[in-house]
Amino acid sequence: MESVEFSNMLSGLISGKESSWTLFIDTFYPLIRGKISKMAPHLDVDDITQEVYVQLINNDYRALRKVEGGFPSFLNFLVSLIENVIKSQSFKYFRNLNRHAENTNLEKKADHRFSIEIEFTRREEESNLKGLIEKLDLTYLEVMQLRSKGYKAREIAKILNISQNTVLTKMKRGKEKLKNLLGSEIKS
Amino acid sequence: MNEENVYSRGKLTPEDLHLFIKGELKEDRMKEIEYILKTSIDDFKQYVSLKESLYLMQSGPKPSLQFKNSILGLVRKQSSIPHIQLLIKIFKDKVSVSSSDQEILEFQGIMTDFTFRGSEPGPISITRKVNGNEVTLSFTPTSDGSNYLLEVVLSKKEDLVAILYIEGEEWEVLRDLSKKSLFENSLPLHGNMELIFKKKGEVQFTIGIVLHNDR
Repeated sequence: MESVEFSNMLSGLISGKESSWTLFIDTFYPLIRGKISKMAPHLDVDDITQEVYVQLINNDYRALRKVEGGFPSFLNFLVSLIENVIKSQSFKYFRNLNRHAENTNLEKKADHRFSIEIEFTRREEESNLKGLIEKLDLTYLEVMQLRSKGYKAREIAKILNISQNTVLTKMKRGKEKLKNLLGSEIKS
Repeated sequence: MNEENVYSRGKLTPEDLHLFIKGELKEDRMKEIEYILKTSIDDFKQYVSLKESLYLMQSGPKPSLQFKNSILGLVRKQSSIPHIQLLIKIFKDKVSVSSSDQEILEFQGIMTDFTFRGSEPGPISITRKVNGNEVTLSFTPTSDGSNYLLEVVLSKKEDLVAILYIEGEEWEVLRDLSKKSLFENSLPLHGNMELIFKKKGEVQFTIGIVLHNDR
């Protein structure tokens, strides 16, 4: 998006201009929806997508008024907003699961606690793995980071503008390196 | 390459990274950014995230007509909420107030250090009519002059709650304007503020304030 087109769109968004909002939806919906599908497939993707727009519109477009910089900064802002909305919706989701469990019988309650325990362990492992990925060389880091976000080799190849074979090789070697890093951590 | 020089330029901006991705920088700068990306994990993560965003913009799902209409409906609803924007510039010898519903107004010597014998800097009061309600905002300097206190007086204050935001963050709430009209927390001398007036949870009107102090 060109900088003039972007700044016209932004000022139109803040003043509630429908043509600017139509352009914004057409241009940024693929990013918003795509990011949510990757980050929170366990949640209601439609609801979260809608919530991101509500956050942008609410209180006289206050969030949009804070935007500084050009189109690339706006992308950063949008991604942060999406991540915040996902965090708050995830929190609500797990709180509701808890409430629901408290209203069911003991057996179901135990099952539910068990599933929360599994989810907790899974997330803990996931965050440990992310920490390990950051220790990789940059050659493998970008591929493994995108892999950990749920992208397929074909998609990573498109994002990084490299061949799918290169991605697959980097993924294989990256995985080996991760295993070695994990092995050394266990030993120490 | 001198590492200190590279790091003294600070973290890369999204704009730098975008130009780097598009290959629209001079060769030296391209090499410099390449080097920073190899040595700074935060910049590298931002670079990958930007590439990811650009990819999703091209390949992510398209919105349905129904979704577009529902969002445009929210925009129409939001745009019907009355709003006034004020720009208050405080100079040494005058105060200039620009309002979205009026021409620029200038008040000589009411506030500021330009005082005479026996007088001292006092409050600035601005009265505007929004949504049939007369709203008076008074900015009073604190005794040390480092902040302002804001008072909001309305002609119709029944059931209205005033929420003050500064730089987008909630600052203070006045839950009953008929009992209390002064915000306890003082305001900075500069900044973007917003007052949102709600009745039973619904926004009735909003006032945006940009305060600029040039004393």
